[in-house]
Amino acid sequence: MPMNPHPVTHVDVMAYLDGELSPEAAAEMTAHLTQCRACQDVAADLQGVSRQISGWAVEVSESSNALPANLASALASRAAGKTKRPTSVWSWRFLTQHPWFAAAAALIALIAGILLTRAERRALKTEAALISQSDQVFSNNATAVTPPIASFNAAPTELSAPPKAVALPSAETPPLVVRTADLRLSAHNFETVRVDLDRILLQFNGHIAQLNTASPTGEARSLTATLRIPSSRLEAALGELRKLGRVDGESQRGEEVTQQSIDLEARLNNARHTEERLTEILRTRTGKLSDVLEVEEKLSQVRGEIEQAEAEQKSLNNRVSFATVSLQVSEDYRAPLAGTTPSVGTRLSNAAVDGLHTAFNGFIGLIQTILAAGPSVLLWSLLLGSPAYLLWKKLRHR
Amino acid sequence: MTSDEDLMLQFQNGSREAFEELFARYRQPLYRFFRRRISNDARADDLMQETFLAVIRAKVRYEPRALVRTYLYGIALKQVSAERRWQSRRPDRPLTEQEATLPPPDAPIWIKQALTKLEEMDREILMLREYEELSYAEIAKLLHLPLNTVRSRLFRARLALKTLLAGDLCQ
Repeated sequence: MPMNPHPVTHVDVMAYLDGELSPEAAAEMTAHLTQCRACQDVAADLQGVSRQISGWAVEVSESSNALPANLASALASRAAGKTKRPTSVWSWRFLTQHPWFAAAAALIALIAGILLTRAERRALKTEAALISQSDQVFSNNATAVTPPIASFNAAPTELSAPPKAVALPSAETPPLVVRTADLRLSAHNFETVRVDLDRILLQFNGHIAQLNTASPTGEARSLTATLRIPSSRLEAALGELRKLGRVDGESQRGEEVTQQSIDLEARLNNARHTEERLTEILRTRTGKLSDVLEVEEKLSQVRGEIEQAEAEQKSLNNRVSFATVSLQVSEDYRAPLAGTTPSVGTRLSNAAVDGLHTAFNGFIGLIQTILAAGPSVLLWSLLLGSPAYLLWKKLRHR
Repeated sequence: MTSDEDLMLQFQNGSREAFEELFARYRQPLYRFFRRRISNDARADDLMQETFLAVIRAKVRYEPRALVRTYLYGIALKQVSAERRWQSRRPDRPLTEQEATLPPPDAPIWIKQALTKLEEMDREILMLREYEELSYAEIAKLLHLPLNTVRSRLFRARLALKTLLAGDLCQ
């Protein structure tokens, strides 16, 4: 029974051999090792391992303590300041060394954040007001829409140019609005609609994004088109389009994309800056092939991001520059003329043929019924008729 | 004798001689460090030089909070990791696990085989202690491990190595 637990662990023995114990602990361990056979064995084992593993020596040439050429050249470059990397303004070291700069930057960021939040909030409010206004002015009901459209036409510039409340505080960056309009018309003279539409597009430098026409037999013809018209001339173009027929419904929407455009521009600038830096690194730095490949891979990735951002920016600019008009024109429905009435002879002949057909069909139907129901009727007649007949006969004999 | 840390501070202040002294002190230990982990002799020499190049490039970032020795071996460990990653990604010559993690062929065969069989982290701790003669605290700092973990893993590695070496001798 172990009354006295072992005062040291084998790990302590190892630490003792490695010189990792405090002087006091080392002195205690020395005393312990003189008495403890088990710990002596552990120490011997550990020393044996160290001795064996030290058998792997690596030879190094002694005569080459001089700096290699690449190190000497790197040192010389550093001394001349050729490749000295300027301390980045945003590095932690710089900021800790220049706390006033950090404080100023934080203050500017705070003010910019507040201004941006306010502008965004105001833009959202304006957009909501614009949508609400358009919903109020343009309903789908043709009778109710006439007076507001008249007032809308009377002052087209009020809506074609952004209202003053929409404008952001900065005069240099007017709000970017993607405008869309839906217009439903009924045209009395449908034949001229297509020609007039081309004329209007030519007049306002617009184009057709999509166009479908339908001419079903015996029904009203229709034309559905998606038009792209320069935003600055949207109101005038809508005015001309309305003349194509009677307005059945109209609506307009405006989506502000200023913030989206700013974000995109910032993303693009950052990516271009990164591209420049990576190109500079590739041009000036020499290093391992793996590093070069890594930089090239990163460069390729950044260029892909730039192309994507440029495509998004182009698409956004296009949406802002050109308003989208969904036009639907239906022809005023006119009932077709009735056809010629057939002669009396034809009518009698048709009646006779119909009569023969009806008689023949009736005969065939009767045969079908007999064949279908006959066997069942016969069976039940036998089953029920025989007892009934016998009963009737018995009663009659009485 | 000027301490490594003083030399590093002098180098930060532009003393080329200080750097040359540091190079003279650590050229051989670092070369041995790489040579025991990379099978290619020339590559080990390259990596040793690249370690010093990294010191030159990052001299403004050095802060005397750690020993220069720990700082250098920290860079060296990263170089070894990067080298192994690069070797494993080479499509023309995929590196075998043995080549990627094991001592070069000039090591005594029994030591090589025994080290091969150790767990990677245990092997690194053992080698840093036995060959680079780093303290437990330095190893813990380099490998981002608690001190007690380093102690216990080192003990485990030594016991395992003893068994493995004894087994090889018996065979």
